[in-house]
Amino acid sequence: MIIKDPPFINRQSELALFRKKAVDIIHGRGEDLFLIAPAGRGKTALLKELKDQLFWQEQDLIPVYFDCSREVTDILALADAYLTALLSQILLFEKKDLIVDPKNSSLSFRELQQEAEKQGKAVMEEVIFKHQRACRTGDENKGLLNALEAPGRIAQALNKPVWMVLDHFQEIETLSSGGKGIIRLWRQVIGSPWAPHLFCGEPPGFLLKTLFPALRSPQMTVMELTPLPEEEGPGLGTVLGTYFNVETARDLMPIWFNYLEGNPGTLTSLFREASAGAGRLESHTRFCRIYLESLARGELGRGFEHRLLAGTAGDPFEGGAMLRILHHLETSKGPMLAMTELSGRLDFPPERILPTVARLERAGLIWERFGNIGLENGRVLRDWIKVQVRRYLFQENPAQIIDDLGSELERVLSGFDQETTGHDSINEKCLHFSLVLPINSESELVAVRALEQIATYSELDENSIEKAKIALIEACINAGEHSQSFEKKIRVYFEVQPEALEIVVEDRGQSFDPVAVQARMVREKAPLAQKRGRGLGFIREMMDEVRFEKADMGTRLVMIKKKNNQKA
Amino acid sequence: MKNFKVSQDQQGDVILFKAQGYLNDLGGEEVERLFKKAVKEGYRKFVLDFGKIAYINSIGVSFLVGIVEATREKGLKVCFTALSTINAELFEMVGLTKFAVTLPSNREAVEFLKTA
Repeated sequence: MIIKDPPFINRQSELALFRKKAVDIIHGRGEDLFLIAPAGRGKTALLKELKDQLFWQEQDLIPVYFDCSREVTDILALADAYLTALLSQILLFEKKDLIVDPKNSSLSFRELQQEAEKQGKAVMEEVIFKHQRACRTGDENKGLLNALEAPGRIAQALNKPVWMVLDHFQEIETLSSGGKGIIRLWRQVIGSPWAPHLFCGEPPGFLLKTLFPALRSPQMTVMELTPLPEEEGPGLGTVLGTYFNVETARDLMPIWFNYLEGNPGTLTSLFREASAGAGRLESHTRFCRIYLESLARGELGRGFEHRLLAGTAGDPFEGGAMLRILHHLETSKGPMLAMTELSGRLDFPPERILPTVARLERAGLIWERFGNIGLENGRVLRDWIKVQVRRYLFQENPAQIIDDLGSELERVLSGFDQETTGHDSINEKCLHFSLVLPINSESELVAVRALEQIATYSELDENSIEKAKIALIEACINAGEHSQSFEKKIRVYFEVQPEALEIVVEDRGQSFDPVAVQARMVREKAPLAQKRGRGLGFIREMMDEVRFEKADMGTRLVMIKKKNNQKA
Repeated sequence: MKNFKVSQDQQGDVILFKAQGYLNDLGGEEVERLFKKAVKEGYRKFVLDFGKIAYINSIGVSFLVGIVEATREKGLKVCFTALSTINAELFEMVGLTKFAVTLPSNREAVEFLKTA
């Protein structure tokens, strides 16, 4: 039985934002955009809804949706699929008044040619002709470039912009690896106001580290699709319950939705799984069972498996190695582990561990920075790893795994409210403040002035506060100068603890290695060699604890200043 | 450079720079420019007054290091005055206080430089 996607709900503010972007495109102010978020966040549903809304409601902008995750054997096949999607959707747009359901309207190349001829679209005929010629000669680059340039050419000929909505863009990397270098071709076609792109993909860390720098133009904006707030869980649960005919406990939905990290796509997968079973989600017990079964062999786990297994066929080393690495990271203490250390502990030769780590990172399961690796954040991901490790590495019975982990998870869920309360009682002595600063000249002064005020809540002496201010100034400057934050912002978090003040400076850009950066500044900026490169030294000197962490999308610098009598 | 100002004064053969606000790269450049100009004009004794400095960042400090190194190379004299506790600590950390005298006030600095 094929179950269609549920109706689109929530994400109204995001839709409104993209509709505004569409208006910009119509007025010739279109720009290429990048939308990133982890799996399950609801990117695809959002893009499809956007495309549908624009298709039916706009006359002056042609939306074209293309799913880059479709199976293609080579670059010419990609060009073929790209052109088919493009031309079909443009031709259908032009005749949309006659169409009942655009989703069921797919045209073959021959039909496209005939339709283009019928509609008098000479430019399309030319595009098709060029494509056929590239296919005959086997010229992959010409074929793909023709396809990628086609939106802009057609848009100009029709005097109507085309918005290319490209979903699962990370899959392009699969084709572009092995020296094919097709990102170079994509780079040639971005920046056109006639046919801007909305690239969308995951995992964010991998895209920002690899694909995005290869593709980006300086003007490209990157947006992140954030989780839905917990309070939207019940509403979403009600809609999904009705749609999938699943009986739900409305009062427990916020806890489950919270556990699923506010990801509407993940919740939808869970409901789909529940509907295929007994159709009930009325208790924590039931939730745990369906959730874990789904991680083991159903909807939720398939996403991870698909990404993990892509490209591993024929390599007997990979499967076991990946599981052992994941298991090791999952059970090791601390947020990161040096790859050399991991290599030694698992007795893997370094040359074998590198490609495996790269594959795990590409799948969004781990992150790697400067030779250190760690598990990506995410409860669902970690649960999936637990299930897979026990199932495949330790060869345990799936039913037993689900029973064990289910009881454990149920205890967690049952205690979620109390846990939150408990957390608050510990944290009630802490005060939290946060700031989002634009990366501007001297915006660090805003942070430091906030710190002056915040520090009045702490018990730090004046000299310690002054030191923290110096460190904060340097941290903000470093983040602003070196992160290349795509959002051009720095986030500063303050936690006033009973015995200390913790300051976190976070950027969402390319992670940078502060030590390497300072060394490079000394090497490369000869005239300023004496002027720069002291910041990190100041920070370390002024604070009691300093550590760099890899943030979701960038770098996080954690600095702690303790009360004088708390220092070691 | 809206958060930094530097003014220049003269007491006998001593040039006084009174800095105010946030001494960063831009402020550092400005102090360095005025200092070089005064050196070019033949002055050899300098006081840098930090009494109204709110913050100094590492690049600002580096410009001061540059000035102090220039005074050493050229046999000039420089005093820092009215340093806050934290700035005094910072200057000591980067080694500035080894080569520049720090004094509480401009009056004391001028007196000191007269005899130097």
